[in-house]
Amino acid sequence: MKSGSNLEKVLSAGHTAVTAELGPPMGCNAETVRKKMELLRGTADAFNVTDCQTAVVRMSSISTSIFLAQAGMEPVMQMTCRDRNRIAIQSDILGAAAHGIKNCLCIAGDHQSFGAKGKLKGHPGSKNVYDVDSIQLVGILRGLRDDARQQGGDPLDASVPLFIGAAWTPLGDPIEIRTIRLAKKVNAGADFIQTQAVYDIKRFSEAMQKARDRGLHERVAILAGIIVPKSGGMLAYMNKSVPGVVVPQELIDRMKAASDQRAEGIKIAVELIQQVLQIEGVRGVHIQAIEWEEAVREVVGGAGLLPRPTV
Amino acid sequence: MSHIYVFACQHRIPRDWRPPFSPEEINGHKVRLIQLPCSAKLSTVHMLRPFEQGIDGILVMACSEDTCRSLEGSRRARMRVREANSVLEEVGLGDCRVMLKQRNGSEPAMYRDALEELVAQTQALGASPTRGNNVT
Amino acid sequence: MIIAERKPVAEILNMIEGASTVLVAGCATCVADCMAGGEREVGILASAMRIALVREGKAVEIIEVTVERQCEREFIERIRELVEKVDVVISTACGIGVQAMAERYRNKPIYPGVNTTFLGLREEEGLWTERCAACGDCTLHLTGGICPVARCSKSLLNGPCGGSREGKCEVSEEIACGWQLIIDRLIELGQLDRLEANIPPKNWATSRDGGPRKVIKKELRDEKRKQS
Ligand code: SF4
Ligand code: SF4
Repeated sequence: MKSGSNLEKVLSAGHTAVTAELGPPMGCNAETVRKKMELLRGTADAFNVTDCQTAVVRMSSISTSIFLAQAGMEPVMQMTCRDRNRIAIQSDILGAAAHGIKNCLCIAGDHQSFGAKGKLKGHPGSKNVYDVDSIQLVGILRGLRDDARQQGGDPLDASVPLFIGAAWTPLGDPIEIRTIRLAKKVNAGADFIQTQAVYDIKRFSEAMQKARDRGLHERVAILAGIIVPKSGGMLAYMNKSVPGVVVPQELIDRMKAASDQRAEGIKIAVELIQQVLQIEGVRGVHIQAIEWEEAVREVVGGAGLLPRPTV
Repeated sequence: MSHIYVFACQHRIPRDWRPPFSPEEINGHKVRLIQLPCSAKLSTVHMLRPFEQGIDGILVMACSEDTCRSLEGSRRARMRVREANSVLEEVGLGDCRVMLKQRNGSEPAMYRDALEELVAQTQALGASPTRGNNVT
Repeated sequence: MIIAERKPVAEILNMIEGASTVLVAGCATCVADCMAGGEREVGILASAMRIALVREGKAVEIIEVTVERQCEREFIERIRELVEKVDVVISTACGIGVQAMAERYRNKPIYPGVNTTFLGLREEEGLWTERCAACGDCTLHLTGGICPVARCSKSLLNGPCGGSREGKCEVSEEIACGWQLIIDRLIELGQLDRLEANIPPKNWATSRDGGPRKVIKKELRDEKRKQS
């Protein structure tokens, strides 16, 4: 065991893994976090806690993850390269590990200009950091764990038990680089991968084939991303505007035609899970029901993945 | 009485207006006609300086872009006029005190019409706020 | 070259508040090429300032001068007489020129007339774009001659983030994704395999965290001779 995290144990026992996302609130109310936690409890093996996603200031990923850990729900703490240099990153990781956080997902993070793209003002004038990129971050975490050594070379008093995650956008532009990017993440030391939302099973299968051609599926646990659709409009929007998300037109039409779009969304998510799990090399799913945490239980249950195994 | 500078490409100046016979008044407006070998010669600062002295507006008479004899001259003049107007706007004189006409003719009537248009435009902005700064 | 943009006239007028003579000092090198602070722009700025000052009813004398390169002492020495005569100098050179002037003329306030923005080139008429972030450790040989530090919005070194879309950066439709450019060029060159290697965390010590940078060319240093 590298970290002894529940997610790692579920995967190494050969089970299909399930992770789900929990977005921290824009405020300091612990009650909001607890409410979300109760909606999600038992639905997944570990829960991704986002790190100021879309560059909007929220309760920190670390402190929210600590709430989860204390309540016996395993967090996957997300860590972006946007806001911290390697000193802050490593120091935060050490603190998080001391609080029993074992999974960390390394991502570049949305650019700070994102915060002002929706209805919010955000902090588009902030200075970003990007001292390291997400692949280098994976490598740093591996060094903390395998060599008990900081990136700069100084030793730690003990190795840091971490299960290291990274993101993958298999259908993102430029498409020629996407398999290489995955390989680099694996080479840097990623233990698990969560993908961008999958809707186009055919194209995702092709991307998985390319990953298998390099044997990557045997070196890393790939969890396919599932975003539970709320409406046909949301699907059309994602297809048009979210980089790396491809939604087949039939799916958009089917969703639009449904009388109860939310029920249809859950149904679609269930079908997608069943389909991605058929693809060789897919070891689990990562479910996001954005501001709709209630949906997760139904989706995971509908896919026959409840109850979650105890390992 | 408005005080207007006219910068004109030599090809656009009526024959009998050429120096030293330039008119000093057109339609009751005080004008100063400055002949250029080509509108390409007109720099942005040429258009700003007279405003330091309190003039009301500038008319630039250039050739149409496809007949400009120095090929790029009239096009460049267009951009510089835009630049001059934007600087004037920045210092509170409005964005339309410099007017460019790109034409092929050279009749006095063309000037009269353009001047009326320019004067109407600048009068709408009020007198030049630098007026009185020893207009020469 | 160094790219800059003229500051708004109002901001400059604020800086010179109280002065009765001002020298607007331009530089005929980079800032002239990017049309921010060369002789032409010095004329425009000085004229705009005069117009604005007349409007405010203030009598301030604005003098204009442009030197070949403000980042070289020999050139700025030549305008000593003018500098000494005025209360304040507005330098429309890049930040380097402003500082060179401030070092040379220790008793004279030297204020910036432009915002120095980046190192770049003129891409089209009226359009300048960034090319280099002066990181101090150039890796252009690995990235097809296109710089990921300056041209990727996140300065990523191991390839594009997930936000790249149809050649555009996630930040805006107006920004080309630097990594898309790199990959296109590497494909053209048949060098895409150069991206397979993992690039370790960059040593920014040659950039931000080593303090102010220096380039020393030992052969050209004559320690005995005092620079004047
Ligand atoms: S790698 Fe560094 S030195 Fe080279 S172009 Fe980019 S920023 Fe400039
Ligand atoms: S979209 Fe391209 S340029 Fe923009 S941050 Fe991502 S990789 Fe960099």
